[in-house]
Amino acid sequence: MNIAEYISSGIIEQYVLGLASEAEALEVKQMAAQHAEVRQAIDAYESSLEQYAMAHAVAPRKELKNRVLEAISKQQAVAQIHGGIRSEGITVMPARSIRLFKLIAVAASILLLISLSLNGIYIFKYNQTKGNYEVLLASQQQMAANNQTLRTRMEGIENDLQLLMNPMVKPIVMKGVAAHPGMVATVYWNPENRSAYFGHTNLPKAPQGKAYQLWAIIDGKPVDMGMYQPSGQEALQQMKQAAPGAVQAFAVTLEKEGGSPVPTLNQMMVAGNI
Amino acid sequence: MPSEIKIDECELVASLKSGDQQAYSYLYDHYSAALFGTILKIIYQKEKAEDVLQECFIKIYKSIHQYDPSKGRLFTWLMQIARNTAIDTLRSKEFRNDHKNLELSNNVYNQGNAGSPLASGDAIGLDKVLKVLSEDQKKIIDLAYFQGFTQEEISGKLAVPIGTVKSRARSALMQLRKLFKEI
Repeated sequence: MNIAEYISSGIIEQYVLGLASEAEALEVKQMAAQHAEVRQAIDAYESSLEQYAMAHAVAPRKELKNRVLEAISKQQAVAQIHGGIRSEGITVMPARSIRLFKLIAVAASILLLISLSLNGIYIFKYNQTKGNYEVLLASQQQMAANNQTLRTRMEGIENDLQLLMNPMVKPIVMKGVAAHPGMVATVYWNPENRSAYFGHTNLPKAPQGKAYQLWAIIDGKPVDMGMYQPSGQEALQQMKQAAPGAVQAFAVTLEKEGGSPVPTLNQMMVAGNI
Repeated sequence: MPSEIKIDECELVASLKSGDQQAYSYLYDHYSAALFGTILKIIYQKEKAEDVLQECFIKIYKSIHQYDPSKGRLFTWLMQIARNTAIDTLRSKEFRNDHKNLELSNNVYNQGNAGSPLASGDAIGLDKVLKVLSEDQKKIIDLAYFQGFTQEEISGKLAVPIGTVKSRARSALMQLRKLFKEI
């Protein structure tokens, strides 16, 4: 069958009116794709039907146009909310605004990355600085404490020095008794105001519950001059003021903590005459 | 009017595909009356037909990317959407519950009262068309083209053999073609 015969066979009229079977419709579509004449014949009939439909046209109410266009915009808005892509995979947004959007998105992503990395750097630097600050603060506190210690010690030494430089003060060196050779302690004795300072000793740390007691021998009798505990501090320790009478010697005994009214003679450590 | 459109139909389709609002406005201005006329052949109630027209335009918007201008005329494609949307509505449960008396099979003989034809300088008046077509020819075209019935269904409805349906359809279409060629 040639094309002219095919066209005049009546199949195209059935197809155009939607009366052809599926198989026939497929055949007509294939023929139309291959032969311009078939396509033209279809177009001519469809154009006639189009005009027939136009003759039956009924104008809808004027208000309906806005309603319909709004419904389409709403669809577009919905499609844009869903990522700008319709379920059928067709982009609704104009290509230009997509490019712009992409550009902005890329720029925003870059800025965000820069911001994030700067944040990271600043957090790192902040932590570093904070760490440094804490170290400095600790060392400053340490230094202040050391300073305080030094000041206290210096004040003690200053006092001691003033004391030692007083021409009235006499150092009385007490040496270890026969049972404790090599031990030594010093009493700085001011006969003018009868004050005594104890120090410069190598007495060992007293056993638990015990302490050293200083005695002055006044007019042949031992008089309590106060307790002493070696503390590692080298400053002189002011003892009790001596009772009236002629001070002849000083001695140290090991007594129970709190002292004893009379010296335990077999516990005498050091002694020295004036 | 249709020949005017044909010139920039490709451009119009491209604009419709890009979602251009103005293109939809143009489409509505040029085709809504024809589509509404078609819908009214199936759905007689004007209010319901308006809903169908709106739905039809949304369907056009949603599926315009599937339309290939090289495979057929835009209007034919639009007509199919209008007809299918109207038929789907007619067959929907909701619609049938509302309009129990209006069975699809009854529609055939009630048409013509639905709305007044659009007065248009370009389109040929309906009266002129009706003068050219016989009542039988007109029925066949309306059933097939506007309402989408198959030839078996039409054969049943009109109680004529399928061969008669085919020959009447063909002669009707040739009449139409001759009529519109004359203009």
